[in-house]
Amino acid sequence: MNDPHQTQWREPGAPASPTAVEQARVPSPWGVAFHEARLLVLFVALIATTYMIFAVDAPNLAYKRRVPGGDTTKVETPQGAVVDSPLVSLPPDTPVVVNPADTLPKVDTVGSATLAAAADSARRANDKRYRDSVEKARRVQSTIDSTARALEVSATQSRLEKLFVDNAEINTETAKKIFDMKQLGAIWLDARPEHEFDEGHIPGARNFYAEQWRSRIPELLPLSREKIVVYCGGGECTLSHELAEGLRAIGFKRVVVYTGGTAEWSAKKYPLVK
Amino acid sequence: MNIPLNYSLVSSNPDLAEHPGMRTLSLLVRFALGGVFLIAAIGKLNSLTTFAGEIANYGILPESWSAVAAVSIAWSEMVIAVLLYAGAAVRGAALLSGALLVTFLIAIISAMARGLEIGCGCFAGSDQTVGWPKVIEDVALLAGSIFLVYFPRSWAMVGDLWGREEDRAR
Repeated sequence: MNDPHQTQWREPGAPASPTAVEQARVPSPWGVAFHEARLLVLFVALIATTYMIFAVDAPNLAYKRRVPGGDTTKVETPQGAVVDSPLVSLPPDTPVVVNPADTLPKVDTVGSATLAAAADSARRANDKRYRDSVEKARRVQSTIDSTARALEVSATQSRLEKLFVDNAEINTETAKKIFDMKQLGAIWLDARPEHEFDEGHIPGARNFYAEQWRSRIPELLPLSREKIVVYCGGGECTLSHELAEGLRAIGFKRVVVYTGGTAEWSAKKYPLVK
Repeated sequence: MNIPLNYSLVSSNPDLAEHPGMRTLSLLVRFALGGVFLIAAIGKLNSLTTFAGEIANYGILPESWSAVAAVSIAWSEMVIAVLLYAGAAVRGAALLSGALLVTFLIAIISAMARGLEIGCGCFAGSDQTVGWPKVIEDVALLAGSIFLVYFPRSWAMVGDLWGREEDRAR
């Protein structure tokens, strides 16, 4: 007899396959997955939006900047950048300039000479208090300025340090920043032959010709934990990349390649020494 | 032999998904995938600014979108991890994780094609760079996600508390 549940590919003894009607009713795995994922995407969007709005440590956006701990004011640094700085209130004992008339004794109980002396004394005391308050305000402003400068330097230093972690290639502008920021402690390696190095190199650089670096591994190994900037002549020169590859192969983790080389460095009139 | 048009590994073997061995395998894949995403999410949420910088390094999105992308990816990973460990909406979480992994693969392959030697940004504090090992790792995780879409049923699922049958594979 024909079994309505038996299909022509069913082996005897094998379990019955679902009929076409039953199969049509059951959603496919991907259909269920899409349905659930749609809800999850909405849920994640809600969480992310809430986090961006309310979290103090959310990454900075162009239109939103928060300083943990209080309100901010815009401060212009000496370099012309505008940064946020915490509002600073003057200390409670900052002297307040008072109207000299408030310190004068009553006219009807004191003689004119005494009045004049008292007025003069009050004026001198006032002047001193005024100068002290100006001086204090100047010191406070100086603190704000130096804080802003320190924050800016710290942010720049973090960005530059990250370039080393990422083993990036850097341009002349970035190379100059690294060169000027001595606290980074970057070590400059010139990958050109010795005679080219002698003709002119970046101040402070050490010469490790890329074709011969293997023979000088004992000199290089002590530098393996340092931040290294490798350069050569720039343009078509590939010696800097060869040296950088070699350094990374022996375990150097913070090597950046200055692709502009001495060509762009000298074109920008940055210092070269013989 | 005639093969019906609606043939699929799952629907022609309805008992395969319920097999104890398959359920155990599904559990292991769930926990493994959930663990990877949990660790990644925690690290990223602790250093979102760094992660936003790593996204910017890929040079695919405008820099102003890096922060939004960083927050979205980090929280997506956290939600995926929680759902996989809880055994709720497993198919949806697996599909979402698959979509994220495909996105990561596209970004990594794009960076490799452009010759960028940048940190992949996969785990906070890791200096792993983009490269073939990362691609292979992501492909393996993607295979796990696809497996969970087809075989979401396993042990220790939240849905079992109230006898949910919608995920039963047919």
